[in-house]
Amino acid sequence: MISARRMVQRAVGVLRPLLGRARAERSGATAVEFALLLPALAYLIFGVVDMGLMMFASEEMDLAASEAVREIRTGAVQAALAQANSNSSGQSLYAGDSNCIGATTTVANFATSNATTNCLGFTVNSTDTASTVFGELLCHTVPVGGTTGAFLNCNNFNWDVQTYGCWPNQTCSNPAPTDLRTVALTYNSSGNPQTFLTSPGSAAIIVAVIGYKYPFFTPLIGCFFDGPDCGVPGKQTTAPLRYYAVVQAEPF
Amino acid sequence: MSQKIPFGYHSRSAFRRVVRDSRGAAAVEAAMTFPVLIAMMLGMLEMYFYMEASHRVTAAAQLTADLVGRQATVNNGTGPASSTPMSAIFSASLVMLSPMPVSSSVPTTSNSTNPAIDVASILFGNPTVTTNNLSCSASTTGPATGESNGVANYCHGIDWELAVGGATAKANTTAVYTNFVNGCTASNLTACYCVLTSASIGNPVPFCVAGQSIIYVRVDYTYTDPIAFFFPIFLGSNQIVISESAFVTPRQVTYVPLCTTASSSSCA
Repeated sequence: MISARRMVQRAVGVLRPLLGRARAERSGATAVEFALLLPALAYLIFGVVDMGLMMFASEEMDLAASEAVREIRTGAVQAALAQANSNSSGQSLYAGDSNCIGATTTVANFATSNATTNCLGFTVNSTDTASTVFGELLCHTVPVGGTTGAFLNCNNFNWDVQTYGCWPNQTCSNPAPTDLRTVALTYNSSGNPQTFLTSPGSAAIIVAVIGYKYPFFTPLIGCFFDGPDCGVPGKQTTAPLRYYAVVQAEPF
Repeated sequence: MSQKIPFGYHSRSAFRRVVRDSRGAAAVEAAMTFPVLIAMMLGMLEMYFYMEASHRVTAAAQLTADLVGRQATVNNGTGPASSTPMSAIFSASLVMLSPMPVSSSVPTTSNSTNPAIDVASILFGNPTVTTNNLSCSASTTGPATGESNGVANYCHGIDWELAVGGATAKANTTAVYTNFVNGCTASNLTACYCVLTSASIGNPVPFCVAGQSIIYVRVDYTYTDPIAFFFPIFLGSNQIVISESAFVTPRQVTYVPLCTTASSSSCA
């Protein structure tokens, strides 16, 4: 009868060469180690790419914001709104672009309405407000922007544009505050940024704060940028991109 | 007394074994590479933040110059109600630098703030103009101080300069302009153009014509690097002053006068 001890010795005797070979086999070690390190390496690479895209978005957003502010500054938005209201129909933001008249444009159907009407600019409708026109301008000016699927998502824009009739000590119906820094992005009760631009009229002083929420696809990168969702499980971190400008309207 | 064991007597074979042993090499190599990769990432972030700050300061200088150039008259505290207070424009400059941290007080000539701002109005070649600081008549002759190419009867100079928040007034130095009178003679003042030499422009360029003026704005922003990784190594500090200049010509008037009293007659 074979004792249990003998059985174990035999089993070890059979397995030893196999174990020894497996222990000595080192050809896959580098691959295994690399596989262990790959997640960390991939995180770094994706993070760098993500930040590069964020910088691109920041530049595009700055461009869109300054162009959109310019359309209030030159009075193009005000003139188109007034014309649309008196005609009760669509009015091109750009003079002489008759293709736009009668077309309807919203943020959602901006790309398609332009395609069907051959409208070079975009239309301002009698139902539009200065704020909706401003939102369309922000989308319109971004070269790769537009509707869903584009690089910059129109729905991620928010803005607080305030206009004043004159400088602090001057006489007008709506003088600017002595300290212009009181203007900031307005937030609703849920803490979400609101879009805000009342009728600019023949604005003299324009104070604009424009925000764009860039969503990072790499986790936690937004913590470097004071992102609001840093460390919240299940939420993308974001970079709150901001554009600030104070300009004086051209005489119009 | 203990016996002295020669160094490496026991450890030599173990040492050789360790040296020959290549297990874990990839992990060790990765561990050596990771700090470099992370440093690159931090460096990239640091450079991006700095570039963005520089971009904002440039934009602030240009927008501030644009605002000054849009005014018909300005004042520094005292002036008629029609004139624009420079303090309002300086508070606008603070808005333009947002969301970067700026001082809570608006820069004035008597405080020290971040940013510090220097604004000047420089007149060129109007032989008959009389402002608060310049009195030019047909009899004014000779080059102005610091200029090598001044022409008789050709009056020019700094009408006013406001250096606020602790800024150094630099318009009145050759760093901002030299040799800015060219091509004119006493009998043909309208043929003049000025050549502006500035560290921020580079080569001298014809910049303005006789009878006009320019607004010079410089914004000095003390930037604090939020990551402080490479900046302290290369600069010895995590702070650097970003100084950007902008020049505009006035939009509504030949030159923007600085009013000195509540009377509109002081706006000259």
